[in-house]
Amino acid sequence: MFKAQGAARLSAPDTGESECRSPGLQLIFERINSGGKVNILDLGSPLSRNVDFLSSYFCRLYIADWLQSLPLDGAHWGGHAAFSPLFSEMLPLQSTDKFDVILGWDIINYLSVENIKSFSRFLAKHTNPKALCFFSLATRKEMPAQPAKYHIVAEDTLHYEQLGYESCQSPRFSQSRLLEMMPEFLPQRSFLLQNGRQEQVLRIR
Amino acid sequence: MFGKIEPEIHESTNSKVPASKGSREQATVGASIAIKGDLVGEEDLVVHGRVEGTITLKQNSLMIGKDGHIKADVRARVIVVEGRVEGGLFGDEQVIIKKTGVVQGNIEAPRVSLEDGCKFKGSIEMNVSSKAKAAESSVVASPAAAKSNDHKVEAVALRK
Repeated sequence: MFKAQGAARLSAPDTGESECRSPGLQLIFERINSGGKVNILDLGSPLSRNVDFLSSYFCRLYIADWLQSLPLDGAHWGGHAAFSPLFSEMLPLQSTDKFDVILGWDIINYLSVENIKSFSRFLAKHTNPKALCFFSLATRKEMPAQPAKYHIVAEDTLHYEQLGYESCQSPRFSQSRLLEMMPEFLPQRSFLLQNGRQEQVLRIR
Repeated sequence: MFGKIEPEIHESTNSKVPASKGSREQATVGASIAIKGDLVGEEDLVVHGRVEGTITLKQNSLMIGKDGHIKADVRARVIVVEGRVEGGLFGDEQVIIKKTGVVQGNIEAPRVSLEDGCKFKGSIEMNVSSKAKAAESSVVASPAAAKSNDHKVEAVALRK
């Protein structure tokens, strides 16, 4: 199981469970509802609520469960050359599998800069034109040491399930820094929330 | 590659598998049994052992027990996974992955249920046409729920 480096038993600002309106998610669902079948990549764990919720939509849902699979302990994956085979192990994809929506949740907070660059290149190869990515970035100095589980409650509402009470230093990526690391993407919208998160919706160039 | 093999089966009263319509017969592949080949049947099946090949139970249910390990494409009316599966799961009615289940492959079924805690890597086809068939009855969706997309109307009808 993943745990960020340098984790300490501190009083993290976002622990336990909470529910919050998510304007970023609302934007994602506008894309899903825009017509036609959509391929959705969920990088989080398989959650019954999300599967139930998305079963109401005309889509194919891919679940990668990266949080269980990746050695996200601060170690690099060895750059892009090593990244693709690793991803293929985690989620068997055919060359024709392209995504319209990527639910990245808060994974960016737990990746190194090099890994984010590799991640971005990989995603760009597997996305359709007009694809949108959803990320939740930490904005406070500290963040929970483990990524949260994001349960979709409604098209504009998320329920956060935080595991553990340990916290670690947050990378506090700004939008410009994120786009620097992910040059294959453009900003669509960003939303600063009061709960220490910033939602970023990016679109493929 | 594999020939058709009749599995060594015996009646079981312990395992629970969703009973198929008009059939209460149930076979079990025991924990010590490994099968390589195509497994075809017309009764419900519980697998505690290992199966490599394909499993086809068109009108019946398949239960993969906690110790069961399937490396095969599976087609059945209802598929319940408590053990491990590497391969595609094609449920004519429903696929259920229990919290102990570990699945790597693609799922296609009108209804898919993943319990929190299960491990799943792959894709789930939210096949609306099949869902409409599964509903069987014509449930009318409420006007408020009926948004612009037709597929949403069908889905709402299913949830009732």
